[in-house]
Amino acid sequence: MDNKPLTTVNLSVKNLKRNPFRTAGLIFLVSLFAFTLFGGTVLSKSLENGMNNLSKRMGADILAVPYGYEADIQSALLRGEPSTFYFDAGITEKVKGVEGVKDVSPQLYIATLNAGCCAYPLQLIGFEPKTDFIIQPWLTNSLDHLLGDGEIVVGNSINAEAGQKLKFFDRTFLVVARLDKTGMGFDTSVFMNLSTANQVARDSERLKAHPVAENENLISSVMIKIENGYDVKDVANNILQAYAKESVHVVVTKNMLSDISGNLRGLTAYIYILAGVLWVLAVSVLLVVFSVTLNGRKREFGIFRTLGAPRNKLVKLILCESSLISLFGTVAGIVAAALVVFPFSTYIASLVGLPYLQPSYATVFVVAAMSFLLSFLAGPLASAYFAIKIGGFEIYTVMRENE
Amino acid sequence: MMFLEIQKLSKQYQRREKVFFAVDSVDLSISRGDFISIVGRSGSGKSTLLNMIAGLSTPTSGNIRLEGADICSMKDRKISEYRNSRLGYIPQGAAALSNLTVFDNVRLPYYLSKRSGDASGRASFLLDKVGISFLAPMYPSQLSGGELRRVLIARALMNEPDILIADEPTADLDIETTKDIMELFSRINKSGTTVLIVTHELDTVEFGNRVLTMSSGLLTEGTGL
Repeated sequence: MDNKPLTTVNLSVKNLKRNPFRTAGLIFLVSLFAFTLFGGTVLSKSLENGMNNLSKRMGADILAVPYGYEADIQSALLRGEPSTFYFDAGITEKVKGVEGVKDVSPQLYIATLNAGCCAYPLQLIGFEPKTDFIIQPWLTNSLDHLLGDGEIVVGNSINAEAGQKLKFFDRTFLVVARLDKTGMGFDTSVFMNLSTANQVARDSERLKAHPVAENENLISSVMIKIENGYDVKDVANNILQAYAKESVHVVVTKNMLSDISGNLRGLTAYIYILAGVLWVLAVSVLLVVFSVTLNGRKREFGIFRTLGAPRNKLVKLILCESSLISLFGTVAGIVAAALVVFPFSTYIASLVGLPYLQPSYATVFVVAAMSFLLSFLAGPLASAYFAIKIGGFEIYTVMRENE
Repeated sequence: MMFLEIQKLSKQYQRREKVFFAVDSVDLSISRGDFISIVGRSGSGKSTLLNMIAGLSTPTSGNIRLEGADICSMKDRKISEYRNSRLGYIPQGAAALSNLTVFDNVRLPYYLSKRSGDASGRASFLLDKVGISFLAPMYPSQLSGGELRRVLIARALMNEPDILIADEPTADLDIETTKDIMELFSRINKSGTTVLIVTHELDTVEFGNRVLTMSSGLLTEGTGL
């Protein structure tokens, strides 16, 4: 026999256990809100973080790409979507000669069908290590030499460590470094020097004709850094005026980032509005459910009063029950959100198609604490009115109501 | 000083436009150790009177004094303490908590105010005393009417009250069970507890030492029916 003292908490637990369906339903409702609030906030913070990181470390002010492929370069950079667009490599030197251009560095994109490391096609990016100012700042530990032939650097989400070997189109490559988490398409890309990229293109010919295999003098984009004191729009116009006839188009990264920021703001607002609506909904539904169930339990509360429970004992009992429901619901919701958001962050990042970088543990903790507080408050808030009201009823009347 | 003194106690209700007295200027004195039965038809006001004595309903006028202390003017905490410590109340019908076992129902009053002692031991003793110790782990929904009434009696005795008040304790019971329950009340009374019961069954009055009749809110000595 259970000899535990019948404290407020023990009484509440016994009550909740005896009504498993009602309890589970209410816990589910609170957990839904906690899930949305915590999961949504972490998601939104990750996007915000990704965005900040992207603008902080983008490196290039202007991207020169073949005309018509402005959207593709965004997909390649942000989502790592395998892209194949090319123009003549001579563009690099030509652009360098434009007034206001400080540094240029070419990149070459090759898509794999699959690779030993991953179950999905990868973006292979060839770059010029001597002139690069885009890839190398992201290396977790800097290389003591320029990236040689047959050597590769892998994105943070690719399952390979330095010293391991990866195979593309039946050729083995040595992983020499791994990138820091970027929150961009770079996380699922593999980097190599231009001659290695050309070799990969030739290897891919066995499966499918590749333009780079036919013409080694092709590149996909030119990363451009401008001189201090120049306006990026003026430099971009200068490039367009000079080389638009050679099918060169430009993407100003600041504009690209502000477009993404706009999308991100919309998404963040949507998440917060959804969380707000869900909170009001959760409190309202709980208010109705608590009112109905507590009204049906008036006789039970009358019995407590008959046995000598003062008014504040009833308030404690009701608040304790709703708090327990809130507690279990909140913990379940936050844990469920964590189990979805953290292990599947790569998938979510590719799904939303925006830079995605998980916030620090401290931020996650603060978000969890805030979500916990807001979600936990839903139950006690919803039951507080009834809890206070029930104590004011005449006991005899209450006892007769539910007879 | 009388154990319980009721003076000019009235309870007024309003039904639509009509005002009426459920209890009309009742005077009653109860000595310690009394076993009083209040009889009367349904709606005569006997339950209303009992509920005012138990502090569950506020009188319109008059006062109730327990050993000199006016319970009608007590604040919530004080009157709750009175209900919990000095009074054992057995309400009408199935007044057990359905989410608690028989054992928990019986020991519950012990935990509603601060006290020290062996609650579980006392609950087991009382269940044994009323003859249903084997039902301790069951829930109220699994019990018969007579068994449930014994649970309520055991619960009312949990904090060793000075007075046991029962509202129609044998209302829906068969003759045999009614007799058992009334004998139980008789034994409780003989052990020193004052008993006040309300009933509309005249057969049960033989167990008490004093009978009062309630009719249209008025209380008179004897069986006036």
